[in-house]
Amino acid sequence: MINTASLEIEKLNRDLGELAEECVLVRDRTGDRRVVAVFVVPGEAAPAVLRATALCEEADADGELSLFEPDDDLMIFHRNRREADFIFREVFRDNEYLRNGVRLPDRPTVIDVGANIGGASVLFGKARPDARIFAIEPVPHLCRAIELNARLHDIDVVVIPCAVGDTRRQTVVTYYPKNTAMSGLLADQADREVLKAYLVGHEEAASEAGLDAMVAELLVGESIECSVKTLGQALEGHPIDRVDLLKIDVEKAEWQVLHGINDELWQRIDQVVMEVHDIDGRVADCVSLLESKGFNLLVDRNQDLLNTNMYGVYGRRGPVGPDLSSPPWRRPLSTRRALAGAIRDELAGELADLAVERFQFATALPRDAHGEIDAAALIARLSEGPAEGGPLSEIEEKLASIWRRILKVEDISASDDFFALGGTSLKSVRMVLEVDEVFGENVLPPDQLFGGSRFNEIAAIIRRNMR
Amino acid sequence: MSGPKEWAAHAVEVFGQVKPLADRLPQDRFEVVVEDLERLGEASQRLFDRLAHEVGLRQAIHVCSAPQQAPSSFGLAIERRIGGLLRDVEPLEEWARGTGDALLERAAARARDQAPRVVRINTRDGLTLDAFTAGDRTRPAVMLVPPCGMPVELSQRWLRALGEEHFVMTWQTRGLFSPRDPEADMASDVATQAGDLLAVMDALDVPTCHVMGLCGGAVIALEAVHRRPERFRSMSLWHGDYDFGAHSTKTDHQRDVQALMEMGADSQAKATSYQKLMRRPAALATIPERVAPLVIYPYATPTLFHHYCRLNLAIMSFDVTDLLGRVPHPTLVVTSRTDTTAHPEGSHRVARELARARLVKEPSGDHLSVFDASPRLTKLAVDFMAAQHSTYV
Repeated sequence: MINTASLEIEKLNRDLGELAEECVLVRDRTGDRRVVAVFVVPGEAAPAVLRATALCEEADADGELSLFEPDDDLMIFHRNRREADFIFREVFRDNEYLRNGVRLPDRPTVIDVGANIGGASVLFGKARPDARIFAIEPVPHLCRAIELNARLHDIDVVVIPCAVGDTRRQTVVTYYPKNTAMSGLLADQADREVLKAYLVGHEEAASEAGLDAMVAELLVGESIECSVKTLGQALEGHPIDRVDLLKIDVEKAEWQVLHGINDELWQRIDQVVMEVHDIDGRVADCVSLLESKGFNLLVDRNQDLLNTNMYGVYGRRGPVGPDLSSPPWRRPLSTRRALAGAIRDELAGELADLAVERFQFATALPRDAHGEIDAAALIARLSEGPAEGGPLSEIEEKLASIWRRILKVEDISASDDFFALGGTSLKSVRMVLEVDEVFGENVLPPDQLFGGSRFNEIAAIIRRNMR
Repeated sequence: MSGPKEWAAHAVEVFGQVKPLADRLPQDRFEVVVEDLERLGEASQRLFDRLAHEVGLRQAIHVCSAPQQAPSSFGLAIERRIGGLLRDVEPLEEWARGTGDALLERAAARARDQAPRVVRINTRDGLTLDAFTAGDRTRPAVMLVPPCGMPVELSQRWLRALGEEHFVMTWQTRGLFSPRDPEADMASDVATQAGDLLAVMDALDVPTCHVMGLCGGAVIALEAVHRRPERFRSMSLWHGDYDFGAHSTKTDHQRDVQALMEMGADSQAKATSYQKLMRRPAALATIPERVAPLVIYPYATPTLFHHYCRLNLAIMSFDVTDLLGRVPHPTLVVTSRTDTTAHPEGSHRVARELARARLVKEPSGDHLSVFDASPRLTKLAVDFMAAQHSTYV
């Protein structure tokens, strides 16, 4: 455990400009008085990090969502990291939506059908900060993620909690908490094959049986009752003159979405981008339906999903053509990692070698009755579990090193699931035994591991049992 | 699959293979996902109902478009195995035309006819074991020693292949296959397990035989030959899982399994706790679909798992170093260059230290694929035994 008695704080008097409102170094009094952690209240140059800090506290209270930085310029709230990573690659890196001539004009109105955690909505908002976005999503947990992601990126998003189909009704959707991107009206066995095809491209040396097991872990479904409305019905009450972009990604229910749109609404839609599962010639059907509504079409494929039946369909009233260029969405200092790096560069000297993970961000620093920084309260935070992306305490550092050794994964974050990262039952046994060796016997009873297998959950079990 | 008749035989065999595990599970149904439920749902359901009836499966099988139950590794292993029967839908369409019932009935009758004969035998400490035989008892005898805790169905291909020219015997590990849980202090050491082997030979009135040890079974075979050298003509050891005390070279897999066995053997409470980990679907990560329902059988319940750990730990930690120099029998030692389960170095060392061993390094294979009893491996075994038989008579 960290010997908090040997730590002291030093308020940095140097002005960091707009990078930080306040900055406190935590030093180890013993030896060379090295800096072991840095507490920062983000400044005006990093508004997204400041918002993230406040929202993390809110999300921690929910216990369902975590913040992840899949890239130096993007933060996103998510249910699990593997999936957030997938969404980042699909939406931001591979730019699946704003390509092939599909563009957002000034002050666009965008409808995001099947918004999931709001990844595409965030891209639209970052590409056009003046965009007005309507995000439609039936799963309540995901609606909460959309809301947090909209606030995180200061984007105008209206969340509409329902499913979209060809007629109004009540239904049950299959929701995969560990793989929310595949939740939908028509989830079924074929989902396993799609997920497997995706994993094949990204898991090192995964065997067929191993993939099957991983898929089974990820596709533990829950059924959620929800209302289905046509797109027009879902948008009722929202004055919308025109739709500059209709994005549809509804896991095989896309045909029903298109069928539910009436002619009057079609006339107000300028561009459509959709993911289509080519079941029984559905791509051809969608193309012909969209052509009949006056769109020019282009069909494209995600290179990661060439073995599946998934296609991207791009429709515009104007011309379409192959064009992979991405809209500008990157902003400086828009992640905690980027801000920590900038502060470290600014301070140079003794912080040059301090890991970025050692920076912890707060909306305000704890103060005593005299208005001075409360050193004891600040230091106590170091021995608590870290917030997502915060500095690792000793327990987390040791546990992370065990995970790295067993799972052969370099980058581990608080919300990572042992089994989703390729852990098998035998590997989990080795983890339990190595934890026993490092922390003492029985601090990680295996049956408790059965209930919670995320990194932060396991660290919390160890912390609780060590008390 | 060449035709409906072969397909029916395969389906009956698959259901026979999943039954031992199914019998141990508390769940009362399995779910099989059928993609084209509208077209194939009814025929699949009738097929599974019939197969379940033919083999006496306690659970119902529910054909559906999406699974409803939270999956456990055990249920999933069975569901995947029986669901695999639907990959070839042509026979299913024949079934839908109404000609399948008779086919399955005949296949089930044939399977019963060709199944190994079961012989109940008693051990010295008063347990009852199920021994199995195949082939003509006038032919040279072979004792097959499978890895600890494996249902006899895993050895079926070897029994069939060797049974053509030999009288083949095997048995199921003590305490793990009777309907009642074993006593807490049931003897589990290697000497006792080797004693079971000898008890089977005695009960079947077989004075001498070739002993064939597979994986952990190799250790029991070695101990039996060491204790009663006069009862064995020769020996073959396949992908053996050996311990040489502090100087053992083992794979990660061997070390992980041994660590798990230590935990599970320690107490019933610990076994209960660790058995839960094996219920996760991730437990199936490295096990081929075909053998999964058999291989995970001894993990199925906390009590079974506890006794399996006791028995298997005894084997995995049994130091064979001293014993090797005392076994003079002609021995075939088989491993492969790619075995990441039982370290090939263990077999190399056994072959070096036995007086009359021949080492064969197959280009590929491990302690699961060896149960496929491929024509290549069968020929290797049969040729070796024939060579020894001719010099021994």
